[in-house]
Amino acid sequence: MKTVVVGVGSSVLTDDAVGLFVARSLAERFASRDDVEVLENEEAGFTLLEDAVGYDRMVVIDSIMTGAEPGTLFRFALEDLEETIHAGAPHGLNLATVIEFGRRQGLAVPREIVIYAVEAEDTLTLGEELTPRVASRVEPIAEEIAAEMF
Amino acid sequence: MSKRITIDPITRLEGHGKIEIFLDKNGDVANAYFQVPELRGFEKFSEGRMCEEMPRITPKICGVCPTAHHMAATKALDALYHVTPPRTAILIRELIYNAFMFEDHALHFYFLGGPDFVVGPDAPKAERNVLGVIAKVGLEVGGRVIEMRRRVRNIITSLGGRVIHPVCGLPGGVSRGLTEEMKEEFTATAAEAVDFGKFSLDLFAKVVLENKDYVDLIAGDIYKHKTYYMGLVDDENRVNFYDGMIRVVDPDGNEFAKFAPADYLDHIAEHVEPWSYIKFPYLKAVGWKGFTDGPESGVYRVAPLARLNASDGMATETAQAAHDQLYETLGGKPAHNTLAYHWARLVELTQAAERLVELMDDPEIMGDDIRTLPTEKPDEGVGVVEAPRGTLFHHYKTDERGVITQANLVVATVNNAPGICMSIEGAARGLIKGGKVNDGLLNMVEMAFRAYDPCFACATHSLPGQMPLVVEVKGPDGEVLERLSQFVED
Repeated sequence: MKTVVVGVGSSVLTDDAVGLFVARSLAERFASRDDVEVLENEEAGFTLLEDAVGYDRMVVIDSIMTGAEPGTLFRFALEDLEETIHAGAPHGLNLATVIEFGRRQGLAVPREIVIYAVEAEDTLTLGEELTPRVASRVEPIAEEIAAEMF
Repeated sequence: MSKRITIDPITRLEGHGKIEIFLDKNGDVANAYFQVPELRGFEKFSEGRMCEEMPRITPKICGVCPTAHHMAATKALDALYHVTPPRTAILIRELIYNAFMFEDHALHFYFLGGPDFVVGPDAPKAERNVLGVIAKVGLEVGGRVIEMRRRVRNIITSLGGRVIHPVCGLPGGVSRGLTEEMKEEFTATAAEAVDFGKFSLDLFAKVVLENKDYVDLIAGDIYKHKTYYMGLVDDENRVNFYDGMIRVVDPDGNEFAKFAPADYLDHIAEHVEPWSYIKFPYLKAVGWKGFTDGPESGVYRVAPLARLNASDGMATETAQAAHDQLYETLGGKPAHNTLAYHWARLVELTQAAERLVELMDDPEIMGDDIRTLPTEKPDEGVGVVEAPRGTLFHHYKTDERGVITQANLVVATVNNAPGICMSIEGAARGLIKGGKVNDGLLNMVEMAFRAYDPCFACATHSLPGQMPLVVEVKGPDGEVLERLSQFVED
């Protein structure tokens, strides 16, 4: 089974980058495996479909803001995001929409898609560092995701 | 162990990405505001960095139009170092830039804007999305869009050095030239892009122009604002995306101002409102008269339709014919109908494609001279391009080592912010009477947003991956009477 791991975020917007940090940690852990590809995506939207095609499984890691304790890890299935398919996004396309589009186009989209989201504290300040509470959770979260994956 | 929760997309929008409509004592609209997230600390973030980093940093601010930021930053560096790139380098930059405009416009028309025209504004909510568009125009069209976009993006990737955030722009030129293999491939891609442009215009004619209801909708008074318009033009006043003079026309289409990008602060000022982070630009010479249109108000608009209005025409043949048809249908130039932005986007897509062909036909694009090395000390520079969503300004000041001391960006959407407010207020006034909110309000607000395609939330990517619109209708005392959003709330 071939897996693609995609860290999503902006590397210059503080905690928005937490998915990229976790992906980098996972890239080190999986460096010797040729059945796992780790990517960083700072654009999202349609490019997530381009990242997904050709893999059996996709693991997406992004930031989220729910009001929970910063650094909290959430796990979602694609279905959890599906209600947003039917919302006319004024700008941009979300993961569930582009994957469904790919499916209808007959592209080889992954059968299994898991989404991890890390609670962010600040995604609006320009900066290349995570806030301390979120930063301290990067390694434990990478550890947890790696354990759940295999 | 991680736990599962249901995402409530509204939670991450507290305090921004929100539209607030205030009613007066009679239950009619008093004011409509929209609030957007503010990116904090850009100047501070930039200060103390080498200016060469700016073309690599600024594209990361936005996940949608990185190439526009890259190119504006690169041109700001040219100005900062007082260096003129060799013609080959300019042609290569233009090739990258027109490829980018083409793919961004294609994405918007088919996948983001399409729901309002291809599917129809009255279609049920569940079909007003890209999946509804493809269901209507056919899967093969979807496939064609994806394939075309992939090939055009390949021009950006091959020359830009990276898929998403190009790194090719340098002060005085670019980092690599074209190879013979690239020439062959890009020439074929450019020809196909022109076919795709014609195909898209035909599709628009068939699906939209042959449907009287749609034409009435576009040509009607909905979201019609008689504002000033701004856009870059070449020396014949034709639309140009990459470079030129900034031209402003008044609501009757007469030239009001024409100036070099470096002089932008002489012409544009920004008005601040306490309820929004966004600053509202206006024409200094006219003045700020509030969110109102007409020749007395300094509000101007940017982006596709504004660029067409601010020009004397298109720079290429098929695009010019499409331009003429647009104005004929809408009753002359300038056109003030916001929904015509979608149509203008296709006219521009066609020009971008035809320009790709012209650039590939120019023998000098294969030249070896791709960089003029800067020899002067840097001090201050302004770089301007037409981003898909409008005029984009980058302005940097440095010390003599090239370390940034001050940076100012006026991003495309900000220019359109007053117009967006006016469109929202117009929709609200039409659909809220005596305290009763018509069901169509959210759709009408959405349509205004989609026409401008504003770029507020592209700065952060946090889940759910898109900015839901939240509309709150408040009474005179500030109590929330209604809350609308596209999401199903439990």
